[in-house]
Amino acid sequence: MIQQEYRREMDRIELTEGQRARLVRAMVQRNPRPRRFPARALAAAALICAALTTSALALSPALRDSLARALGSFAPYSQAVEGAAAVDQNVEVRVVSAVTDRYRVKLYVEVTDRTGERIVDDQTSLRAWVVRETGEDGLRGRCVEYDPETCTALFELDGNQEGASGTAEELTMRITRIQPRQYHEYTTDTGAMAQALSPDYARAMKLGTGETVLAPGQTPLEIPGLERAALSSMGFLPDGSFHTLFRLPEGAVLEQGGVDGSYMYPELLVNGEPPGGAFETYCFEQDGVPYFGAAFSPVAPGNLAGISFAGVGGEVVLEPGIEGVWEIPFQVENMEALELELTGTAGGASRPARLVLTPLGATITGGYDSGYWGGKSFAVVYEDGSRMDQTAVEAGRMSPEGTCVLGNWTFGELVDLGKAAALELGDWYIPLAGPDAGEARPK
Amino acid sequence: MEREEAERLVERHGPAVYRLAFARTGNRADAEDVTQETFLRLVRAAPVFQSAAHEKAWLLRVAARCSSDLFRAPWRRRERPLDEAAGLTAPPSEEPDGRVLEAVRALPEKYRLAVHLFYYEGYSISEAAAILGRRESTVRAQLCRARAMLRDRLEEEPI
Repeated sequence: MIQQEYRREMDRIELTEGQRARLVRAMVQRNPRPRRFPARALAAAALICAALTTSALALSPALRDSLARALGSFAPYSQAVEGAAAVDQNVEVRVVSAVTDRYRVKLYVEVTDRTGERIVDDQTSLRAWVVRETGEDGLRGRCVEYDPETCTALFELDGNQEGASGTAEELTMRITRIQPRQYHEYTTDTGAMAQALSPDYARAMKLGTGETVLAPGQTPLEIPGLERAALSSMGFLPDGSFHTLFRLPEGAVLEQGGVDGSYMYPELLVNGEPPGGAFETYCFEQDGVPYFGAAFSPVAPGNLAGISFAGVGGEVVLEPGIEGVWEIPFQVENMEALELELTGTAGGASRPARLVLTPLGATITGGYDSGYWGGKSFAVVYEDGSRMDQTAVEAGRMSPEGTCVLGNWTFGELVDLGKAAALELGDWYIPLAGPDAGEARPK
Repeated sequence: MEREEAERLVERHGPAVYRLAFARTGNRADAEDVTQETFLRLVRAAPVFQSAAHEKAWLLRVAARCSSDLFRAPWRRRERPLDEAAGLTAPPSEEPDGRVLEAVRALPEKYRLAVHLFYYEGYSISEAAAILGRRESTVRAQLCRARAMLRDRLEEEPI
């Protein structure tokens, strides 16, 4: 029996006395013999952290510095948040800092993997929401830094949701999924791929599901700029479709029909334009190797001369997502706001337009008949004539019923309300102080 | 860590970790690297275990992960994996390994640990899946394919 023979043979694989002694010495001294783990693999392999027993930890020095850098000019308005933590699935989530006003939040969140095995670098994303008095909004996030010593990632999460009218408020942050090891790959260096095109039909195969897919290994090609994926096959099939099939690294998470697994495909152009018609994807494993395929139709050998690739890329996910519930309520003090009713050329609507300006952003509300103003350019003009025009347009809300959000902007740097003299909104100039405060007029 | 505790851990779990690392990497040098890295992580993490079985499962899980990380290292990618090196032979070891060991080492990398945990360590499919961080259905399918490939290679009766 193979099993018995395997056991007998494996029983002969033993640590020698010398190996045992070296191992014990390394454990006692924590001074390993020179290893063949390259430094990059060590950093990425998550040095296991000490077991965490308290829920409110001070930031590590590395993350403290990263938080300060991330806050940037907003640091004076940041609030340290204490005791706002939740643990699920052996992951601890803590809200450590917040910058909030009545319409937007900027949260800084630490995520610690207590196993030290899943969250191993800064290529981690969160699915998160903020819940305020009027509802909830999805939070857009980025991983600012990963500290391998504590197995902790620091995130900056931004959201827009109207909150309480007062200054003090209780927010709730909710996370439902943590996705570790999600690597974005993209390149426009597709020359070699284009040269590998052939008018001959490629070989297809049928999966156990009955699906027809491209067989692997027909046009293997390393694509410059893709670190983890490689082209395995590419070509036309007699059914009028053109396929690409990428080989992914061992352990890549595949999710048929889902949105959380790995994917990789080209930006196909036919005669300079994206082809119309159908686009389908599929994934499968063969001999332990994960593959991701894409099918474009109708794209036939007759289109060969006009086929090009604007780029190729996707996401390689090397760790299953961590599903759980991390629901964390915490108190904040919303920052000061300058509120003005807008008149002049901005007036005359059924509801007066009102500006709420904070150091973090600007929101204008009003009636549906005022129209949407979010598409206008926005800048803050200071007393000395300098301008701050680093703004990001956020979602408005236009509805014939009730108050509309006519425009909503988040600032890229802190605005000093004490020195702000006026706004430039599209072609309008709006003083912020004096007898003409709020009166919009042409620039 | 105290020497006595280190010796206890190595005595109790060293062979299992080393054998799993060997099953995955196919050579003793890499297996020793993986074993050392695994036990050092235990020293750093100092986790609290509910039982000896929990302790062993933790170590095997970390060893499985360290073994995979070894293969993902950039310098490693430029080497041709054993299972793709058609026509080449494995580097000579200190003593010849058995034919079944050779056959398991010739399996695709992802199958080797499932085979080792199920057939050598005696874990159930669900236990092996938990150690490897894979779905039960995945481990079941991998074992099925591995059995077929081993049968073809060894021309034996079913395992």
